[in-house]
Amino acid sequence: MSEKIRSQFGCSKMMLPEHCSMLREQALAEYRAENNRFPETDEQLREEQQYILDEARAGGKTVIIKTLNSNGCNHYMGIPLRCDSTGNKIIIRTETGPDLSISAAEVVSLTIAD
Amino acid sequence: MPEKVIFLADMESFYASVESARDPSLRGKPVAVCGDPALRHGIILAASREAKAHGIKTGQPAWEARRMCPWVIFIHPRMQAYIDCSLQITEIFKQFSDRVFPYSIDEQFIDLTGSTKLFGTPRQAAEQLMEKIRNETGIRCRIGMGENMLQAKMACDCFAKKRAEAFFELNSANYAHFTWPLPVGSLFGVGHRMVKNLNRIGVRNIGHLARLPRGMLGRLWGVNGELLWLNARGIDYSTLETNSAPGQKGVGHTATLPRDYRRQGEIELVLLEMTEEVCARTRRQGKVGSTVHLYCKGSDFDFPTGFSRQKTLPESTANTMKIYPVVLDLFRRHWDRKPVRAVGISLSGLTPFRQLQLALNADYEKAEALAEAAGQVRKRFGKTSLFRAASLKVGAQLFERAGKIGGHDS
Repeated sequence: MSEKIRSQFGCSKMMLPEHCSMLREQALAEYRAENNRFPETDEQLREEQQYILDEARAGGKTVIIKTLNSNGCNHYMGIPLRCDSTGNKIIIRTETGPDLSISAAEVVSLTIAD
Repeated sequence: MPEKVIFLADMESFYASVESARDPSLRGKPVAVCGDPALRHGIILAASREAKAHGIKTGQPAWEARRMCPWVIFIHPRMQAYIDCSLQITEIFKQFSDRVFPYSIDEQFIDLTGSTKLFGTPRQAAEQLMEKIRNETGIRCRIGMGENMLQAKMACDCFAKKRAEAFFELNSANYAHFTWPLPVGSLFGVGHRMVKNLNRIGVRNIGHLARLPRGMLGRLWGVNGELLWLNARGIDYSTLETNSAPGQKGVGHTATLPRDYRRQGEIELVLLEMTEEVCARTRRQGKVGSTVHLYCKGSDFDFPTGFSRQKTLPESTANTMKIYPVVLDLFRRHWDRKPVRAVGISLSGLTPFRQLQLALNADYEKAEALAEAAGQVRKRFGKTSLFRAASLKVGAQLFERAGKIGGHDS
């Protein structure tokens, strides 16, 4: 089947190059927004994370924390020292580096390392 | 399998409506968007409903519109504003479906198949769409619905635009009943020249065309003939491409000149400027092209003269000084010495620019680096910040075209 028959509207569409490039930008922005969308953390998940954090802190266990912010995704590994409820931060001690302060609002997953 | 629900939404007097929405004092008045009445492109691009009531039509010269309605308000086009509004409308459609296909600046297809539970019947969904667009942009939209894109287009153009409710549905069952009595010129894809050709073989309405053997139309007009037969029967194999900007096959520019160009030197100067523009755009996309296409149209649009020819390059490039000699060659070989009013150049067969080519030839590398640097300067400081001296000559169009979109003010 010829292309004209297969896609007569694709062949005949009249778009200004400026319009096409702005549509491409719009589609790209949508794609980025969709792929970097912040997951919604519900109350139950928050409670589970708090439980894991308390358990790790009490037992001196290492946790893996995954965060997501506008700069992208990050993974941290360390032993939780304390939670700063005023600043909503989790402070962890990493194996090699200094203590890290992680924004609790950016946490998307929290697990105990094997 | 559930039937498809395809909408074609068409914005009423789009440019004029955008202007009226931005300036409420224009509402209810005859408004016409047109270029400079003193120049060739002083034609009506869009007329408001009130202007249309005085007989003003799109494509009419501004002076004629003024004669029909002396108090008509002329407004210069602002293409960027229209593109922005069109994008805003695309965003609204995407709230209803992720399958949106912008067909032109004021027409978009939307696939609403399977969304009855979300938005109700197709008519209810159309009403919601029309209301949302009107509330958010101030523009009235008309919607044609069909089981495919062709039926939606026909429903919109032939019926929805003429009805107060601004909505009409065609489907495979009622397509013949509604469309076959219409004049053949109403069928999508039939231009005024094809109407003459069809009239010559006794075809007056769409029904006549549909009853002809498909093979006969194929023999007479090839693929176009077959397509007309399919369209007359409401058959369309098109799929709604959701990617609004699918893989580009070519980069091109066309321009209607402000007057008849008779002198060879003047025409060749415009061709140089347009070649430069096409090459710059191709380079910006990181591509090179392998086929150059040149089109020149004479000044008498009723008795068309001119030509359309293409040539394949020995190697893919986006370098002006490699492509321009080919353009010149095509022009000099095919120009019939008659005045030229419109020209177009395109570069197709696009492939990604490969670094490997740079390494092959030092001169090539130099030319590419120069073109790249010139492109960067123009990108930062504007198209007229760096130009060929020839663009200062009489007949040059660079300064006339700079800062314009689609040949109109941005």
